[in-house]
Amino acid sequence: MPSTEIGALDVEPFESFYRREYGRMVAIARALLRTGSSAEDLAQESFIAAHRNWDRVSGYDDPGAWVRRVLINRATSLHRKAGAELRALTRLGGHAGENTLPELTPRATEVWEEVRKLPRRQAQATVLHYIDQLSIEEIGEVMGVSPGAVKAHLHKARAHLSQRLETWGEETT
Amino acid sequence: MKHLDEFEQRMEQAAQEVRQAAKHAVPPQLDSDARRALPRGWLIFAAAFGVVLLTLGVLPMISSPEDSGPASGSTPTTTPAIASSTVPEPVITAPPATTVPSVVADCSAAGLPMPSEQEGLPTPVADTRRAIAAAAIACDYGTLEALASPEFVASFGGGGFEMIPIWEEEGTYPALALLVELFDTPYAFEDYEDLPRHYYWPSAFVYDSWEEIPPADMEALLRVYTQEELDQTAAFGSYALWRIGITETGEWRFFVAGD
Repeated sequence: MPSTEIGALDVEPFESFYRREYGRMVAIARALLRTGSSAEDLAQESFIAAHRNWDRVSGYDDPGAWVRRVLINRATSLHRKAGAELRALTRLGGHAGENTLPELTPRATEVWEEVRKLPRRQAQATVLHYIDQLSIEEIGEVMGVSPGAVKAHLHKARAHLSQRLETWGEETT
Repeated sequence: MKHLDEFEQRMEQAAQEVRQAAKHAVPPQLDSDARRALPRGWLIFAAAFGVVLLTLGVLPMISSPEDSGPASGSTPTTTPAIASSTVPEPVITAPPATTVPSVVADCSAAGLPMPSEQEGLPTPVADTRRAIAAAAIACDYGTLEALASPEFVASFGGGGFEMIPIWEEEGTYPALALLVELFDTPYAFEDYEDLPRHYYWPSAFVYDSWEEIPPADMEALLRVYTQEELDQTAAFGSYALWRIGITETGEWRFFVAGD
């Protein structure tokens, strides 16, 4: 992960970083979690972690990579905890599960449901590739693994998903 | 769908939909600096306290957007560090945790919540479990290595603790995330004639056959593995995936997979 310190004067204020990156983080979370409300909550949690540690995180070459790392780790972990996702991130005060994001079509929902069934590294690499449109090297930075490992995860993920896509074609036609 | 192009097109369309949907997400307004310093435990307490006050209908009388935060008095408020400006005071709750390490590190466990405390563990075991999880979340290999027994086993091929950072960095296994998540599954212990009692996570490891694993313990495995991964190991006949072993004296003996 990038860790080069930059001059204090060059450090981006948290708020502008947050506003610029928020939508992209929500998109990543939305692909990795079942509901839009969970995705927004998880994105907020990840930014809260960055906010608390901004003195240090802002010194990284790419603070966004760090937030993505925290987010994908939490997302895949939360997704595994069937049913725990909503409990852990439920909004209180009468706003439980409020979803401000538009629902996805059944076809898109099916795609991301299959992605969430992949082993976690494959799911993470797939979402960072397709949703966030990162390069192999950038995905490697976010996941903390080599470009070769990213390629291997993506290759396996594509092989599995393309098989499933054939099944979908048969099921839906 | 027979062709890769069709597959890629399908994936891109699905991704485009998600990106479009996310454009509707409005970043909640950033809250005060005082609030961001709230430790997680305090936030959970504040959330619980706030719910009680909301239930009693007294919160609006003692809290307003202008006077919130611990600096304004001894009464904790119910707002998170980042709170929406359009909805009344949402609170982000977290799973039960003891201490949540400050997350400034990079590994597969960065940002994960601490596993819940488990009842019935001897103190040395509970302490070691907690210390391993905290070090994993902090991506602190040095502390983890110090916690590992001199006879620590990470690979039946002869690998010790040194395998863990290698797996992480090569992307072979998200070893630190697995450590944290396995500690959140039920545990079991076994007694031996010539060895101290060993505590194991997950409990599924102590069953001789896959069929003997109780449904609740099986359900817990789905917090860590996909159904497909479990189906593959079921074909093997018994649980042979990742497990953690700690002796009753608190010695961390292994984190290993396979047979």
